[in-house]
Amino acid sequence: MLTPPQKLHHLYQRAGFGLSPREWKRRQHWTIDQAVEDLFREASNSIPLGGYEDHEAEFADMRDQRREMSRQDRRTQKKKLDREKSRLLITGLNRDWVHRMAASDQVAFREKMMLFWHGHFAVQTLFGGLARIYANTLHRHALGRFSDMTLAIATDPAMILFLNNQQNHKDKPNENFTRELMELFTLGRGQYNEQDIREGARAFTGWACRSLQGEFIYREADHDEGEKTFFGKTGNWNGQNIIEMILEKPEAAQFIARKVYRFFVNDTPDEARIRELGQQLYTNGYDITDLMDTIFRSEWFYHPINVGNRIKSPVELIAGLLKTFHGSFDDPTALSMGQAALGQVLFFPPSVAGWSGGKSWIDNQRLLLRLQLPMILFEAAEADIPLPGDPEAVDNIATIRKLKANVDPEPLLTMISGQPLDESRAMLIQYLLPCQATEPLAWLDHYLPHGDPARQMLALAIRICSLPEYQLS
Amino acid sequence: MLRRDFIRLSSLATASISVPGFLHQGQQLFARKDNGKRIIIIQLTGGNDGLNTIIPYADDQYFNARGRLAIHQKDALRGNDLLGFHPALNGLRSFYDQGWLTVINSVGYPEPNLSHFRSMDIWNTGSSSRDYWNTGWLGRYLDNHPGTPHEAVQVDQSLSLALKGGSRQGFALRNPASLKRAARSPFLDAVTSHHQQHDEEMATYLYQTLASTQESAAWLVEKSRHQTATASYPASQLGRDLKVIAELITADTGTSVFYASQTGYDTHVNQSGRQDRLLRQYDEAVSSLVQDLKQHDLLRDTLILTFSEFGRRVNANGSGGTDHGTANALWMITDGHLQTPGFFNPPADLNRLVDGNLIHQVDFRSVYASVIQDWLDTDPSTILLADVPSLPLFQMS
Repeated sequence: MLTPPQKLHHLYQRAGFGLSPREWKRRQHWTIDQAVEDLFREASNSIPLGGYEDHEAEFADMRDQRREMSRQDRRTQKKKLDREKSRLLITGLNRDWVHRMAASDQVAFREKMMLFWHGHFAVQTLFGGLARIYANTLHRHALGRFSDMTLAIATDPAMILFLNNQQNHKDKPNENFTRELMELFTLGRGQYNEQDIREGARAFTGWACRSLQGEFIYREADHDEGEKTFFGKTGNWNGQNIIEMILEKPEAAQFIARKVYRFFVNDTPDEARIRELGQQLYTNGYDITDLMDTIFRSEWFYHPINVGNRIKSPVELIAGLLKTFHGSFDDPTALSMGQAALGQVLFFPPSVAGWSGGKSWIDNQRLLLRLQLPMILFEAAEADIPLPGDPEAVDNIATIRKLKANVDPEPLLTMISGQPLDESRAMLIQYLLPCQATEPLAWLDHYLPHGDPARQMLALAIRICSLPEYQLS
Repeated sequence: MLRRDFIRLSSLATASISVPGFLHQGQQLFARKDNGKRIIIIQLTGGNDGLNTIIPYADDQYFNARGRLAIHQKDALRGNDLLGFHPALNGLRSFYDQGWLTVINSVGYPEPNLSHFRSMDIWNTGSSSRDYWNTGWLGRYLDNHPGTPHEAVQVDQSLSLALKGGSRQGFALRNPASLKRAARSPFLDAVTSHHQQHDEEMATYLYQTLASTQESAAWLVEKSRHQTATASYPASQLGRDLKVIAELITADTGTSVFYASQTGYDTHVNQSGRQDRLLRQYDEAVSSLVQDLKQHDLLRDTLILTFSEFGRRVNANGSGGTDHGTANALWMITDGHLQTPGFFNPPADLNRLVDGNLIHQVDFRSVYASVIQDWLDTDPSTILLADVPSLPLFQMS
């Protein structure tokens, strides 16, 4: 059985990225009901991710230089500028999202839901503008109705480009989007046949986008107006009809409930619970808020079997560290490189199937890097971080030696100030590690710097975060 | 394992690190199993232009399609009347002369995917282009073969999907010494030795991974300490990586699968100079490796397989380069076990294209099936999760 503070710890790990020291102190005696209500209240006040016009000054410089150039050079420069602009937009957006997850006064429940949906409706894009629209599609629908979200995703420009619906023409259908819609987004294998895919794809013909403007466009002339037979029903279906017919199947609700359960509760599915959750999702019209509310208020969510057994994803790990140490990144590229080295770059999941999660986050090198990460970020420890394996890159394999983040230790030190060492250590363990970790860990004291007690306490917290248990939530 | 080594290992393991007993994953940890055969996979990342690597210089269609990019018979290194080698591939050509090389043309898979990432995943997992698998073909081999944590070594900073199994994984290192430095810091040694048994399965898994990384790192450094490569290797990254592989092989560390890669092959613009430079680096590095293995009489027991995620569009583009394509040449090097040294199959058919791309003649999973069956001595269906016909590539007796 978990104690009430342990339950809260678990809730905030799973619904967010842990709590900042101040919020932990403020909330650790809240009731679960109070905390859950607050989650939804905070999430409903979240605003969409913004643009990154602060880079405009740099671009203006580059534009000025361009005036003096030959036409050929100007064209090359413009291409370079566009590429650079897109890269800055996307790394800036990535950083902004992670900083929100890490915000010291927020739980960032909506941002956590967005991360879940990003892995579900997985899209790769290198275009900053489209990434922002896509992120905000996730933002808008993260706690809404799954049916609305699926329709919004089907009209999202980044998705349309990623799964080739742009090439889905009346005279030459492209089945890519429709196949993944059923296989990965709503039903899973075995619930449809190849004819359903072919006919479904015809219904999505003409669902295209203007990529530069980032707008969905319905190209009526390119839409197949003929009769289609989908799941045995014949009619002049369009994409929306297809999504409705898919979600009429209770199996779709089961599929989503299973995915939610495996992300938020336990990677090992409990079939009976998933069946109940799926039925609830189906009956309530695919209301995600209602589903999450049920999970977080249930007794079983806090059963020890569901606690401290989940390997944090790289983004969760980074966000949690930033939150604890009030950290931030000045350079968005550094954050992206850190994500790449750990295996999870936002807006670039490995495929449309998203991240596999679980043990697949870990290999011998990545485990070492994860354990060293707190010291790399907050003590400027030497790292050996490879630059992302870019197939377009030339052959020299570059590494970076430093990946430093800003740190503000004050809130953490305030939390434990005035306590004897043993007591401080115990408080930090309770705050930082899953509740199964009950050792006093006095041996850690031998690995602290001499001198200034504040520096020692910070080093102690960093070392607790360097234990394998910290990898778990 | 020699008794002397065992004693040294035990003292090594106990003197500097006290790994709690429950973190050991069985005592055959460092025992040598296997049939003494090894494979080395070299991945050319970015999509190497196979048509300009193994060159169909007797085909007019090749010159029509490639224009200025085409490599003429007088410049290519001669193989036979139909096919020759890129001028930078002197080493490969000499293996061809010795009968140590088999080239397979037009290797690919149905419904080819032209994204680097997706196509590499397909090659690495061994799935069809419609399936998304989250384990690699070599990872599934590991799942089926209990062995050392360093049974499969990738010389890299992180692990390819190819080497990720469901329950076991390959072992990534840039070189044993740098891995040991990172894994055996005083702090991490203390983390392992102070660990108390957990009920939590995941925590135990993490501690086991850490402990076995520390043990393997120490063991690999210890075993390979006295190995110095007999061949001189080029200073390129691939040269350094293959040198590490040769040292681990000659040190007999109980590793049967090795993985290395070379990147930069995405030649959309100004392909000629770039591909020339990359293939030259490849050829120099692989020549050193082959010479090294040959001198240790280990080439007979080692298969070196080189592949890329796709080939390139048959027609050159307007920027002196080529765009993403489909089927590609793949080649294997070993001494003595090749059933068809030289060219396994006819050149690519440049008159039958789909969207300007080659149609594959050989499914890559058939190549895997042959390698799994003959070199890893394992039933391919347990690893490829389907009945994939193998090819008459090897004679193992």
